[in-house]
Amino acid sequence: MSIKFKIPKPLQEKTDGAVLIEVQGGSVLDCIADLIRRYPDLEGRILDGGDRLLLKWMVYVYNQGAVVANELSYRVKEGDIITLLPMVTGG
Amino acid sequence: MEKLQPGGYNGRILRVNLTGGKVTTEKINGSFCRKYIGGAGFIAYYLLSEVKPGTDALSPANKLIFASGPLTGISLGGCARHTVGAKSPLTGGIAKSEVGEYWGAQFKRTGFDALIIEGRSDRPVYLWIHNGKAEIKDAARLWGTNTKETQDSIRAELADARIRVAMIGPGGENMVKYACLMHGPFDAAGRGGMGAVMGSKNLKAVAVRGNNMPPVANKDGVKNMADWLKANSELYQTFSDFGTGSPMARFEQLGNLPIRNFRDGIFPGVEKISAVALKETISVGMDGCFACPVRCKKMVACEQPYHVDRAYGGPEYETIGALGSACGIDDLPAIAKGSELCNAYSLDTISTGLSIAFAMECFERGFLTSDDTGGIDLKFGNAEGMLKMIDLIARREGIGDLLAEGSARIAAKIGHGTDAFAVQVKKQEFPMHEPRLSKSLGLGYMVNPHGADHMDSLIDIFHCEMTEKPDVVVADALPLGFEPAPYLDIGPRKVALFKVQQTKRFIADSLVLCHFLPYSYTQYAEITAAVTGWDTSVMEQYRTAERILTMCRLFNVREGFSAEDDKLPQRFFQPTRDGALSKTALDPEEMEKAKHYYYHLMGWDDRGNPLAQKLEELGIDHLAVK
Repeated sequence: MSIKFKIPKPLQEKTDGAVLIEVQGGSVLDCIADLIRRYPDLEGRILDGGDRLLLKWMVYVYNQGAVVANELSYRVKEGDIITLLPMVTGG
Repeated sequence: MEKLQPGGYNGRILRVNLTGGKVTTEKINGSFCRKYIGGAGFIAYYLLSEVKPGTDALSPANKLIFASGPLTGISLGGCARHTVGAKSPLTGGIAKSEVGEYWGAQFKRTGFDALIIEGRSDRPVYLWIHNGKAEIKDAARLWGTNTKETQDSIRAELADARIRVAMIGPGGENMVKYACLMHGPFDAAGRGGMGAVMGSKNLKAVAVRGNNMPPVANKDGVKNMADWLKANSELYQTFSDFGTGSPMARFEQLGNLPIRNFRDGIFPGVEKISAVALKETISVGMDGCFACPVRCKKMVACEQPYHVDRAYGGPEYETIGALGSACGIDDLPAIAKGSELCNAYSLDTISTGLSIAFAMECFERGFLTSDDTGGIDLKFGNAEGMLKMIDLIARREGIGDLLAEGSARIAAKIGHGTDAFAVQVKKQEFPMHEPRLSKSLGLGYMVNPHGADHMDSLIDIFHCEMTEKPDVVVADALPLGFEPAPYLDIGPRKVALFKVQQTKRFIADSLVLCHFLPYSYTQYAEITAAVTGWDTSVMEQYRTAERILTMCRLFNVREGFSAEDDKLPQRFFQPTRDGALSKTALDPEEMEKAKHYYYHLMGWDDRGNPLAQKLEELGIDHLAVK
């Protein structure tokens, strides 16, 4: 199964400039854990040390125009691209 | 001496006196433009110079000002906005409110930089501004109509579907203290009661259409910024996908979500009302403002259980919070219907929602009864009751006449210490972010010249990573030499960071530039230089914002405001009843210290009065309170 993780710009220095990285796992959380295993410099940059996202990030899964937000337990499927975007809000 | 007309300006102001029907134009020169920029700066200048102290905000002597900035209407994301200002009927102080849509871009092309409306017409009228001309036209048939109907009628009468219309519905006509000024059917200059001021002048609408955009000094500079924006779309992708309000469940978890009039901390229905849920249920697409790639405006429609017209857009985060969680309501179609009604009637959704939420708490505590509400069981969670209240407020019928005054005046009428939970500063209701979680946001609510407002504040929690001992890091402040500050702190470092953020926001509101675009302070200066041709810098913009903020303060001081008015309501010195903030409250002494340090940084005395030396330094001593 091909699942990709798109690295946001602020974290690309931790992945040696790699932007699109193939990851493995059954859920979004698994995929993030796999990504951190491959790039240990990401430790503490995405998750809070446990299984919660740092507040600054929103996690999204894109697949052919569909988008799912904020669900670390989401079961990923073929072709999914996971990314992190800064949490922004306003009026 | 600056050249007469820098890029991005028309160099002309339009002045319309509705009492005598007189229309005049005035020139503005480059020095004036550079000193006050436009938008919020122009509004502060004209209100301070021309509106006499003690003026009744709903009298002909008040002035309603529409002001563009040098960036308004250029083809760059975030440059669709303009500012509307007047003496506020809600706060009694200075008010300004920004809005996007296409109105500002069209107004700029009519040949003017600002519009000053004076006096009061003896009959309903609207204003038609097109390519350097302005006409006052009869609006008798439009009086009483909702906003979409008003826009459609004006476009039909003038036989041009591309005309842009700023207007009021019944809420503005009936001078609800927090009536907003709609621009099209779903973009609002929301805060401070600008719609009520327009209604007081018997002015139903301002329609604009133009073809002549003033040139910019450096087209390549603007194009380079547009290219940068395109290359960095991930910085605003969340807005493009969901608009505002996608992290609401996280907000509840952290304690940032207002729940039942900021009383509670747990709201099980939060997942049902977030922008993520909205996208999966009632969304019919996204819309946007002039030249903006973000397209953050939700469009919604549904038939059951409420018919919601997509023409009125969809609820922003502030609306979902105010009409939803703050009222204990987790019914998304009802919230969307409430948003539609507020847009149709021209009511600020924030003040409307929190006035209703305050009434709900009063009802639950027995300070209001069903005799007062006309038999409505106005408990938290009653969606039908919320919708009924919006109708009554817009028409000032029954209890709606009281709720139309805003929560501070409702509390004053009811008494019994209810002011302790009237969630407002300077009589303006809080936006949907929790000051108990973000102390510098609380400071912003306290000292903002136009009352509680999140747009000109530093929201601590958005600038930290929530690690074990998080720091608030304001990226814009680092190159200016400011240090990060501990998240839980509201000491001098945090206050200084707040001031950096507040000045940046005031510059945005003067240029006029959308806060949602991810431009840095440095980029603000670069865009300004490209458009105007000025050799400007962050330091000049920081100082200009200080000038504008101090002018706003001067306006309020002469209206009798003092340090006593820069205070949070008692509710925030106690924890929420449950949830993430059940053991967290603000310390009144700590907040007072922060306020006084802010005064110090601004060059104001302990009462919050700007020092004469500071006015001289900023070049505005001629505007001092006499």
